Amino acid sequence: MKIDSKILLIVLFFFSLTLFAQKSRTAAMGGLSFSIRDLDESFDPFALGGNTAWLAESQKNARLEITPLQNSSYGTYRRKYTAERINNYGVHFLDLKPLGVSGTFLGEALYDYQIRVKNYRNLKFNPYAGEGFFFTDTTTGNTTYKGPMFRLSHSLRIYKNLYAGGGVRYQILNGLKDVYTFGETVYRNVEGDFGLAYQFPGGITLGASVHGTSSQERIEASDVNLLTVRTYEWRGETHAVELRGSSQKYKITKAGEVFSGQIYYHPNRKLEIGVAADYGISGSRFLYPEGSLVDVEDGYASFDITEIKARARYQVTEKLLAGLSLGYTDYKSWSENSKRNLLIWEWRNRGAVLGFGGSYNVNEKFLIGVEIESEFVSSDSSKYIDNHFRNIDVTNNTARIGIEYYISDDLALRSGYNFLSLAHDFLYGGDNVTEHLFTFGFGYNINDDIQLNGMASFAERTGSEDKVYRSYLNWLFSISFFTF
Amino acid sequence: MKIKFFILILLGFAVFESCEKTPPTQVDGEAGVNLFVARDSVGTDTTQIFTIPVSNADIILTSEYGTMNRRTDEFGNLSLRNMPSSIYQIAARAHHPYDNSILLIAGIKDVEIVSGKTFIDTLVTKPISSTGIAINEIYSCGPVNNIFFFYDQYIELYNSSDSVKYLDGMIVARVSGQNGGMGPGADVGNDGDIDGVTYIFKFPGHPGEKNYPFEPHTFKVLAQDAVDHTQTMPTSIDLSHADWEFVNQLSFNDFDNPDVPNLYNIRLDRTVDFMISLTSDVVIVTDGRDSVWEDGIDISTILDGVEYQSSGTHRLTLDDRVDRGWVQSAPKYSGKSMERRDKGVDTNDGTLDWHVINHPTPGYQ
Repeated sequence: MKIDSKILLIVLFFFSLTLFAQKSRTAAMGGLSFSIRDLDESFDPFALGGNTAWLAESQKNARLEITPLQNSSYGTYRRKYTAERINNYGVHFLDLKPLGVSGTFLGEALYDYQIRVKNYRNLKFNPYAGEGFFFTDTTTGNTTYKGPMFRLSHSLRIYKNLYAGGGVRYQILNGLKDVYTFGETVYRNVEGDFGLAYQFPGGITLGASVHGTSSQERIEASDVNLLTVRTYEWRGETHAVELRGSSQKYKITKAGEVFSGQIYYHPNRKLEIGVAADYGISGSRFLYPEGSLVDVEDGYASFDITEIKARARYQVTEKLLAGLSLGYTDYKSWSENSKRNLLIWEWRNRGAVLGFGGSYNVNEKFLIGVEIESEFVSSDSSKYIDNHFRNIDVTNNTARIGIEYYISDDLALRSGYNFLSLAHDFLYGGDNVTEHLFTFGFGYNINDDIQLNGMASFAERTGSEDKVYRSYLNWLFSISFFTF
Repeated sequence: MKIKFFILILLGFAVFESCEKTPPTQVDGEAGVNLFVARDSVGTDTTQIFTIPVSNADIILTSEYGTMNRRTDEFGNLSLRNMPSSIYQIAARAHHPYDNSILLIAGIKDVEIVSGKTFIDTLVTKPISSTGIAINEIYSCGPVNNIFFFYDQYIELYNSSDSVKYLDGMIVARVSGQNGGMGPGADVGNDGDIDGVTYIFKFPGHPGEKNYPFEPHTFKVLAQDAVDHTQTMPTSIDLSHADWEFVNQLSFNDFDNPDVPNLYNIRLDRTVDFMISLTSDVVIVTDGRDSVWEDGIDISTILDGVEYQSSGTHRLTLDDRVDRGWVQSAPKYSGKSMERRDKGVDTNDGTLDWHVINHPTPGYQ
């Protein structure tokens, strides 16, 4: 398979605040989401829309959760600057504490340790973020990123049925490429959010929130022996400016806001409907130092994102739950050569998602769920500087099945399977890609106060041509304390 | 109180202001170049002088994006599309169809090629017949190593004329003094000389004498130390068969190969070997008539001079009467070398005359 890199629409920059708990139960059941009843898969303004104001109503049970986890991906199916193998290890801590009239407090901490094996030339933390710029050296090496992330959120009722909430998130990572330029990275990300939610009579809740992000990535490539290092500042994928010296510095700053609105309708136990809409704008600046004090902007990338998602669940019978998922996305971006004020890349990616499914309690011990989702995507990419133009209209399909079986009152086993058929893979650029995902997990109540959850998944994504593949191996294990 | 608190938080979002910009109206990558390369009809069987297309001419386009090499078609035309906007240096060079020793060259400097427009020009070449001694290769960066070994440096000369030249009394100098802020190789005071000589070594004899012939179309390798450096550093080169060796007679430990004749130091306050900077320096070769380095070396005596630099944004400091361009050097300890594109051909524009080669070639091996 020829890996096409002309269109790339990974927008990791937004919505990273919604890390919250690791959804171990649904993840172990093949990733079932809208057709299963689960604490973390609610459609309320907090769970669906990330509005912290509704945290106090969404999460009423105190818990302390400790979760070691690993995510790995490896294989020959990758983009030019994607590492051949990525191993991500972490320990996640979550503290959720309802404080009565003082609201609810949520604290999270994550220590992340990531190794990128055979990282080809790339020196950026996130080389494919939809920006028209790369920063590279000349060698392949292993890169390590490590550092903590902290999040604090607080929500409370401030007036009758009016709720307010806000949070901050701080992440810092140190990176080091272990060869030649010994490129060092300091990545810092600060996020904040604030939201309001009002509960009307009849089970309707309206929410509004704003989420701001500011990040900075500083890269310094210098040889330990003070020899010359060569780095390349790419504008597009064909043209690069070579930088040479004993030390080369590069900086990427990003800032953006997301404005969100949520509607939640939950009139009774049978019906639950949630709608969340987001509009976000952000800008990334690519800077290099000129002299010792001044950073000059070499490039700029702008992002404009609209997302609307709607979910509905209806308890058809005592045993059957039906779910519906609708979504619309519109991502737009352009990148410019700031020195000359010239557009180098422009892309737009519009998509609509339609999904439906259901879960069925065969008996008190056995639950099975199925979901089918289709995503209709229309994508335009004009990479002017490389003279590459592409228009794609595709339909990508996903099928999920998951089961849960209680061996005893305290021990549940879970499993699931996903089949993805991607006419175009926007993550790695391939066409006619398929993925098989297998998941396994368990939940065990040691007693009323302590619960164990674990899940593991294995997936293999393959292209129809050239027999390229990429495998994913993930696992997590969490221990939850309900009194502490 | 709670409401005021949350209003304060809301105001705090000003921190995340993204300063959204509007996209540019012009796009990059849509610049074009149409070049016609021609020569005059002198040398053909006609009394009229008119322009003749130069087919298969090398076109070298240099910009911040590096160097692009193309060739003209049989009608002397070159058409390029979808180029990024930048400031380009454009050179054309080709061998004369009837006399291979004549090089046809033309060039234009600092051409701003703008997206959305096509730059159209005719390059009328001029014949250059290299008739003298020129620096042909400078190997300065050292072999691949991590112990700072660079003692295998050498300078290669080429006699591109058809007659025997003589090296008697000629001078090779490194010019790296800062010259009061004007940079190495500049003419301070505008008095017709370049100042800032750091090392100055001289061939034996005096200018005008004929004891050390330099045969036509041959090379001379001037080694810092004429030894087989591969014995010390396997990635290095064998210079034991160099033609000349720099020896500082004032040094107690400068190696001297008795089988190789020497250039000697004439700056008596210097007691070390002839060393040049690995990535940034100026090297000149003079006919030796002006050996008083203290007041600068007369430009009229300079046979050739080369400035090489590591920074892509460097400004030329060498006086433009010596050379109008500087050479992008090889990285430190990369084992690469700098060499003229055409042996001995000096169009007085180092940027276009030189390129980096992957391995040193002493004696044009």
